[in-house]
Amino acid sequence: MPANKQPVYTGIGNAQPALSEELFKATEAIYRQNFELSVKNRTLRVLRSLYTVSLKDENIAETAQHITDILCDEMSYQFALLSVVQTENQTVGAVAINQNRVLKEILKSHHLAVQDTIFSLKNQEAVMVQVLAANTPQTLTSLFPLFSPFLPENACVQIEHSLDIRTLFVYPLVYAGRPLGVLAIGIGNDSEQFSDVEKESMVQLIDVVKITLERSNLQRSLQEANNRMKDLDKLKDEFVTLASHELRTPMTAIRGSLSTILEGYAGEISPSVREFLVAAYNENDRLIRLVNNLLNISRIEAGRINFAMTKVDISAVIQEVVSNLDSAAKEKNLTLIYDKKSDVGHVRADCDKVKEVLINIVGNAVKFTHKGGVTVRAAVDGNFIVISITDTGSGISNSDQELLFKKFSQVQGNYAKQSGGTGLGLYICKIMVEGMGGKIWLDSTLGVGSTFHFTLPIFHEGKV
Amino acid sequence: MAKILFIEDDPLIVKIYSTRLKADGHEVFSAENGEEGLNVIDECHPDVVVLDVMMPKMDGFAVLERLRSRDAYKNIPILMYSNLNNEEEISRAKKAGVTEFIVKANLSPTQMVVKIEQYLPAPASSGT
Repeated sequence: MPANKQPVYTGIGNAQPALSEELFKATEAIYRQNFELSVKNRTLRVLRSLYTVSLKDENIAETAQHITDILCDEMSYQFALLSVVQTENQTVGAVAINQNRVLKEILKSHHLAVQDTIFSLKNQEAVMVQVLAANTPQTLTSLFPLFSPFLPENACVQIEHSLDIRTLFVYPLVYAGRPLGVLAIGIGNDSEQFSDVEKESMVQLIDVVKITLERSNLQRSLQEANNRMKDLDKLKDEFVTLASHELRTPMTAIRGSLSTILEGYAGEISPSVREFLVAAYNENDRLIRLVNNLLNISRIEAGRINFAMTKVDISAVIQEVVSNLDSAAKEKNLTLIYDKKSDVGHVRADCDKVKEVLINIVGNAVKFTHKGGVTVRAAVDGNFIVISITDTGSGISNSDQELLFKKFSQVQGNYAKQSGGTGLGLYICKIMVEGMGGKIWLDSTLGVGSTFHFTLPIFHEGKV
Repeated sequence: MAKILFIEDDPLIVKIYSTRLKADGHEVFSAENGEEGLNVIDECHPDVVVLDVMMPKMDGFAVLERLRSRDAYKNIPILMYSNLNNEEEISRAKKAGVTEFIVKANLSPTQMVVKIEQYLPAPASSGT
């Protein structure tokens, strides 16, 4: 049977080289696939890390530092340098390099901060500029062309040796046609040894780096726009304040002069002169109110209205306002009464603002009423005190009622023509009343009159 | 009767108020900036000081702080007025010890004079 064995043995013997070659190939394929899988796996991990960085609200330098560190720590690249294009100055400059102790020392010994590596976009000698201009990557075998003239050649060689950098890939980062920056990656192999799968993973990483940079840029421009807005707003505010002061100074001087004459301190004046001076006085007063209201509005809109909430004797405030406006009512032969039935106690409010609201509403009522009079009442309603101002004026139509508390509203109907108002008063009243925790509204019947109501919270001891 | 010192850089404003105050029989002094005000006050010994906020050289706040730091003027009524209804200004003045802060545009000259007279010592009956 040896004759039988022979061919089998020979067969095996003959088959062996082929088999072992196949085995070798299979092993190699497994190795390669294993390697590719590990690269892909790592890439996925790094992509996730980069994605996390892109979501942080950090400035560009911090973002860039994270990117270079992640690429070296997690992709095991030897070197990573990220540069960013500054469109304002037309430059591309390094913002971060991977953190490595040896690298840091070498740079320090040459007195180079990596951020000093800045090239004009017109400098055609610079590798970073070339890469961006052509929008194609370059492969280098030395660091020197990248850093020249900022770092001497011997320092570059020193870095290459210490970090074991054999090849540098310099990638343009261009997003939607706009150059964002340049990423340089250093690896410890020759470029031929850099496999397709590694190149592919690099391309994926580059894409995410671009998006991260773009997001960081957007974030910054948003921040800048926001800051500019704030500056402008502040400027506007300062302007309004200054303008109001400059307007008020002469206006109060005019009022003072006119009232000095009208009250007889400057000698006798004839009735016709008085008539014109009264007109001048009233018109000037209207200007003062307008400026006051504008100033109030600008303060309200800048969020700079504060309420100094204290215990306020509401009856006393009503009494004060009513007596202040008494002469204006008498001039028009109107009655102006505070119909005080019982003591309503105290409210929790800002006294000056309550006065302003009352002067506004009672003043309006006097202004728009031509026959009869104005009555102010206060009554307790639950946790609030309701202050009601009733006039026997012409009343306000339903459609006008809706507009009444809006800014610049009263330029409607006959209300405006006779009033000489600014259309701001009730808007300000509404904001002030609501700011103190109350409500404001009105009931009105055309031809009969109107009642304005507003509420203020009752003061409770120990609850300021 | 009583003495009132105006520290105010606008002579017209001083004239408007002093016309009325003099008609009521008071004596009015004036200084047109903070520095001058600090000197004049020692000479005229006023019963009330009316102080403007915005003035050249030394503003109203600085004057107020200096007056309050001196024993002689710790308790003298100081009315401060401004054309601005600025809440920061008002609280600053209150902290520095203002007696009352008045927004000029909110008061007519007559009301202002009434305000000033509120702080004057009671005439004759007090015996001074």
